[in-house]
Amino acid sequence: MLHQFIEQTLSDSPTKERLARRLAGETIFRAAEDQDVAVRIVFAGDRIELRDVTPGEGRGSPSVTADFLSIAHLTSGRESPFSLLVRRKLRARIAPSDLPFLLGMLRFMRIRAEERGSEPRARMRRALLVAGATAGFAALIWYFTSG
Amino acid sequence: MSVIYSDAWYEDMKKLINHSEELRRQTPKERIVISFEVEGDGASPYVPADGALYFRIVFDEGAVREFQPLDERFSGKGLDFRFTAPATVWESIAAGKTDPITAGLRGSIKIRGDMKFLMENADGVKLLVDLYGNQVDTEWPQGQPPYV
Repeated sequence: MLHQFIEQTLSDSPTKERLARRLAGETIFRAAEDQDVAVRIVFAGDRIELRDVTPGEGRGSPSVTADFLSIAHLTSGRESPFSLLVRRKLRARIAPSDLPFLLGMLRFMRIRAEERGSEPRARMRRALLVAGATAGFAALIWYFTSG
Repeated sequence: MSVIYSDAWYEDMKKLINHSEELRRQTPKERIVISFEVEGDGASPYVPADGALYFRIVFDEGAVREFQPLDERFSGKGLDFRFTAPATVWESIAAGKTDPITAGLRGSIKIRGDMKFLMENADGVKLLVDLYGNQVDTEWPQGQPPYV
C-alpha cells in the first residue's frame, strides 16, 4: 500500500520529487494494528528504497508507528503530524538529530495539503508581496512629492 | 441469513451499506466503481481452485447503486479501484476472523487505483470494510474459514 502511494505521489507531482531528492535518511514505518507489518523507507537523494521489514528486524532503528487512519489523515492533510504526535496517534522513536529528516518525510507524504493548499497560499503570498510593494512605492512617492 | 456469494447475499450487503448513515456521510458524492476479485486458492470450497469470482460495487451520491456479481473480470474501463485477494482472505474477512485493514497492509489484498483518493476517503473505506467483515449474517453451507 505504502509502495503504491509513494510511487503515485512521485509520478503525479514534480514538487514532491524535488522534495524527495532533498531528503537523506531512513526510517521504519510500523503499522499500529500489527507491529509485524513494517516497511523500511530509505531516502537517498536520487532514489527511494522501500523494503518490507521482517518481524524482529530493525528494533533499534529510527521508527514511526501509526494506525491506518492516522496515516491516511496525515497524508490527506486532515491532521498535522504534531497533533498526531501529541495525541500519541503517531509515535516516533528517533534521535533528536533525525528530527529534520522525519519532518521532511512527513511533509513529503502530505500530498493533498500540497496539492490543494500550496498553490492558493503561494498566490496569496505573491498578492500580499505585490500589495506591500505597491503600498511602499506609493508611500515613497508621497514622501518625496509632499515635502 | 443468506448464503455467501448468493444473490440474496449481494442484496443483503447492498442494503446493509445503504443503511449506514455514517457511511453515507463519509462516502464521496461522485460515482465510484470498485471491482472485487476473489481468486480460487484451493482452500475455499466456494471458489474453484483455478477460477475466480468477480463482483462490482457502484457508489453514486453516497449510496450503493449496484452490488452484483460479474460473469467475467471487469475490463477496467470506468473502474476506479480493483481489490484482488485469494478467496480464503476475503472469506476470512467476511467471517470476521481477519481484519481487512491488516490484510491490506500486509499485502494480502492487492489494491489498484488512486491511492491518494483512497487515503483521502480512508474513514469511509474503513467503515465499508468493517461492515463487510462484521455485519452480514452469512450462511456457510460448506463450512467457514479457517479451512482445514
